[in-house]
Amino acid sequence: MTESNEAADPGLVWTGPKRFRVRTAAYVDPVVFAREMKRVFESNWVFVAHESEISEPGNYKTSHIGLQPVIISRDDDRQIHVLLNRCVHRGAAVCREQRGSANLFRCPYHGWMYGNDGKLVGMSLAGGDAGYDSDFDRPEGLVRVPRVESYRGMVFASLNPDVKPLVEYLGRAAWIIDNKLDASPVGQIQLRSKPIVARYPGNWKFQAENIVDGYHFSFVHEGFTHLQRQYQDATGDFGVHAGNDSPADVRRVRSRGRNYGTPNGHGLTARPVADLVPWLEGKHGAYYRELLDAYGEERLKMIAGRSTASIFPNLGLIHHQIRVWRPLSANLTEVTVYPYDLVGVDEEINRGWLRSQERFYGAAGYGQPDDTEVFAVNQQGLSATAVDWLILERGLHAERDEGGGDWSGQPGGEVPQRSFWLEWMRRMESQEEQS
Amino acid sequence: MSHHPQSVGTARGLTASNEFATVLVERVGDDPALLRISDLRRGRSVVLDPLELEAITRMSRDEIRALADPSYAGTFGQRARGEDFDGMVGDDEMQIEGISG
Ligand code: FES
Ligand SMILES: [Fe+2]
Repeated sequence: MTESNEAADPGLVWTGPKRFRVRTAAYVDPVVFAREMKRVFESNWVFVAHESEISEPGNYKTSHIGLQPVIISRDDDRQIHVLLNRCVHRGAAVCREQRGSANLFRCPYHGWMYGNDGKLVGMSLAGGDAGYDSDFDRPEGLVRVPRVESYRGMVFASLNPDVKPLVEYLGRAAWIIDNKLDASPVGQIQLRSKPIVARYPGNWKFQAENIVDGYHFSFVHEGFTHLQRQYQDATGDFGVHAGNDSPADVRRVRSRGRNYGTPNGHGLTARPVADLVPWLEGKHGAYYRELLDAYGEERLKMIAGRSTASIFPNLGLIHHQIRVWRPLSANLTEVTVYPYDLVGVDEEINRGWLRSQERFYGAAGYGQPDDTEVFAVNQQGLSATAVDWLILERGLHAERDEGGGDWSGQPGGEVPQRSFWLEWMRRMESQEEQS
Repeated sequence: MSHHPQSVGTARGLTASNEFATVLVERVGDDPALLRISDLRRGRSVVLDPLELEAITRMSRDEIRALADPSYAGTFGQRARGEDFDGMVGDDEMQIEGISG
């Protein structure tokens, strides 16, 4: 350990000129985990659903805000409710399925009944000497999550009533959401496929950092790059959709783009295409020409390119999928991949994207299983707690100030990860319970 | 008992199921004038005629909620509000005392 470090303990994140390191405890310590559930998840916006998952009145799904189980439902008036999934009687979970349809929910323990708007319909066996007195202080119903807002169909909820407006919170991340959703000529996506769910024995922050990490690709996904080199499109086009070009050709016309980190902890990657011709004249040229008319050349370069986001703290956007990571403990995380369809495009295009997701992100795909494997290996390595620090200093010397607290750097650097950690630290250290 | 949502048609009727309940709706006898609704989890059923069914179509969501309110009908039961606890034993005849743990 260096002398400067002995002078003042830098805490969990050590920043300074030419310095950005994170302490091992941030990933392994159960006390840190308990604190981040409060400070990072419960005081913040957290993604809970896409509106198309509960498209009809009576549809509901269950999800979590950190460790807190919630129900997201749509009532008769099409209004969306986010409710704590805990019976107000003695606390049993009311909805046990991941999704379903119901106008009424019934608690499995003693049968209290609720409307799908959360209102208490009635307590079973209410009367008599064993029941409730006439002046019983009757609860109104399931406890409501105080703030719910959506951005383009993405529903976020917050247990903190004083959280800032969602659009303000998303900041530059909204631009990435726009890039993704505008690949639909009507600007809408639909979650139609069953999600892919996997757990890994590692900390949730590995996934938050890795989804915008350009550095690992040629190492963790080496097998995949060999496969592409050897078989080209014979293994599928992996969502390239540029025409008859090989994946290598497509890589050539993609610009290097930039990585961004934002003050609310979001990490972003935007890699526009440099040359639209292979797209406009390729297999799906008609589709790309329609987008060109709708959005113009500069926007289309962004839309047809690659946009990826790690939206603090639990949401990822990559390829044609919404990815949600759910912390279970310091060393256990559940990742759910929801492939989405673009509304208003040929079925063939959506099928192609879906097949390409299965190939890379599926349980037996060429990519995602290697990522989750490396997260497990990472957690394993961090059992060496005798070593203090992880190093996140790539590109620190070449970061660019983009104004408004946003920073950028070249993909392959660690700008997004640093912004993630700065926001994480700010929340962990904040004096108020809610920020 | 399955809690998986499903809806299965048969020659005579249709089952509707979600994680909270499973019911069978079927025509009674050869005369299609009556419908029977059976609670497949508890074994109770009710036969309704067209006028009774028509009445349900006129009910508001709040009135249907009142109809479903377990403080009146009882999750297990058959008695009105105010009935004492022993009157609320389940249809399976198990004594409440016997259902512990
Ligand atoms: S805990 Fe839900 S009814 Fe008792
Ligand atoms: Fe990866």
